[in-house]
Amino acid sequence: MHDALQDWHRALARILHEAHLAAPDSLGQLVSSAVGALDVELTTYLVDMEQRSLRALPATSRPASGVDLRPPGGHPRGDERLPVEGTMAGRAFTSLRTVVAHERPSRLWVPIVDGTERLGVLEVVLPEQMSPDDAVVREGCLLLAGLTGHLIMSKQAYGDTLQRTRRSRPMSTSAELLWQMLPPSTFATERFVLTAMLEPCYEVGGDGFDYAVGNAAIHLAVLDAVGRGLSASMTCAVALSAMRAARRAGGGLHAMAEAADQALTSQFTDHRFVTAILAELDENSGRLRYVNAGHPLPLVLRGGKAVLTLGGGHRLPLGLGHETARTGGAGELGEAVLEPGDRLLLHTDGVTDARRADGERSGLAHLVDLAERYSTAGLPTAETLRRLSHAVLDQQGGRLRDDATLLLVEWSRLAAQRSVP
Amino acid sequence: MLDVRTETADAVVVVCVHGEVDLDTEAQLAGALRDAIATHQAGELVVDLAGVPFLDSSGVRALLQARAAAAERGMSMRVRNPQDLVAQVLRITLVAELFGLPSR
Repeated sequence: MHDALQDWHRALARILHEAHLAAPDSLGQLVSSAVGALDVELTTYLVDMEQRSLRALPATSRPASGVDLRPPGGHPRGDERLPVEGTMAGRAFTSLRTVVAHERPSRLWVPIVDGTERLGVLEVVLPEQMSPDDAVVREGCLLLAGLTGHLIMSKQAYGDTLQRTRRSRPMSTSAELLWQMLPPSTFATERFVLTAMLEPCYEVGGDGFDYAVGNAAIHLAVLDAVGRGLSASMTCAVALSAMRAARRAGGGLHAMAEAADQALTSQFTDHRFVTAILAELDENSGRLRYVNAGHPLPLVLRGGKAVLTLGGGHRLPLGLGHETARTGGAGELGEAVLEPGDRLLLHTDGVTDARRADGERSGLAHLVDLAERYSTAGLPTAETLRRLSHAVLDQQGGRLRDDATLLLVEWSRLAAQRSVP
Repeated sequence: MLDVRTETADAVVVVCVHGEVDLDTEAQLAGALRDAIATHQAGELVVDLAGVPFLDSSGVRALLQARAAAAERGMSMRVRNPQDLVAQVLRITLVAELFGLPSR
């Protein structure tokens, strides 16, 4: 008896074996040639940094038999891109569901994730004898996309091809420094989803975010270093690294803030500072404890409505902690208890201070309005944030003066399920 | 662009600021405050923000730098007449008290 899935498993095994010695720029070719025996044609698309287009990796396969309907000379097709809005590829990316094109030849658009980090989509052109509605074919494609996602993440540290594919234009030094410090933008377990977006992604300077998950707790932070450009990126790097080192040494929220104070004041003498929210969410109970170092207040959305602003846990911005003696102590931790399904939204002032097209500053009420509008659609959490972030950017005519960061945590099992293809 | 005017009376130097203080105008405010501190023999520096409808964290830093520079010359510094939005920024960043403003 022939198990049809076996052919796909064989292809996966071949990819795994060959991946040991694969350079990042041969990844597309490796995956494509491994499925040659299946007669399918693959193209890997990666989403760009701004999450507006899907860009083809510069390598693809030709079917071992059958008719290649692509224009001659079209391989490799490194500059090919598909907008996220209004394409089947985009629909697969945003919904995290396989999208089927019942055409001749039929093709599948399969989301590529690593964990829950959305990386792109896999285009699979099927040979005539394969049905796009066959459960085995669907499962085989999902597995293939899953392995591709893992490989993209593990290979991208070794070369520039994957990063270059994800960029629509060159990145500033400040943004290059900043992005390499940050964790992947989306993470989830069965209990929650956390996702963050930073704009303008090719020029970001002083904003940053961090998280760490373990022992049933989620540590998270949003930072905003004063100023902009490379100097602000360096300030943020110092604060973030000090916080991480303290956390990894077992320190709590206050210890992390104090470590950042110390690192900043020992490194800089020009009163630069970093505003930040440092928080710890208990994954089981929903209890949130936080420190607010001079930062805009976090919001809690419940049932699609903003129900709380978290106004506790105040202390001076990071880097000004030495002034504390004159302003009255390190202070208590702020506390709140989330209900299942709640969303916690953190932002930097670049979101609310940015000028709209009419010249007015955007303001908190407007952010709340947008957050409420985009949180009711039942979308994957990362997609909710993508739309929210783009809405913030678009209302300013696509140009931000300051960095604007949004970090969204959804404490919800359903949200976690929705974040997996 | 900011409009910054500096007056001295009774050992107090008053810097009146008009305009929005953000990433684009921070340097201008910082420069004006530096000049005021360096060129006036006064015991106190007062920064009047009545004409400032908006001030972000870069503005806060300019004020903090001025406060430190003033202290070095033996001057105290305070901020007066912040508009609501600006007072809110100074309260959120917890620096209101450092500038002699109510913290809540």
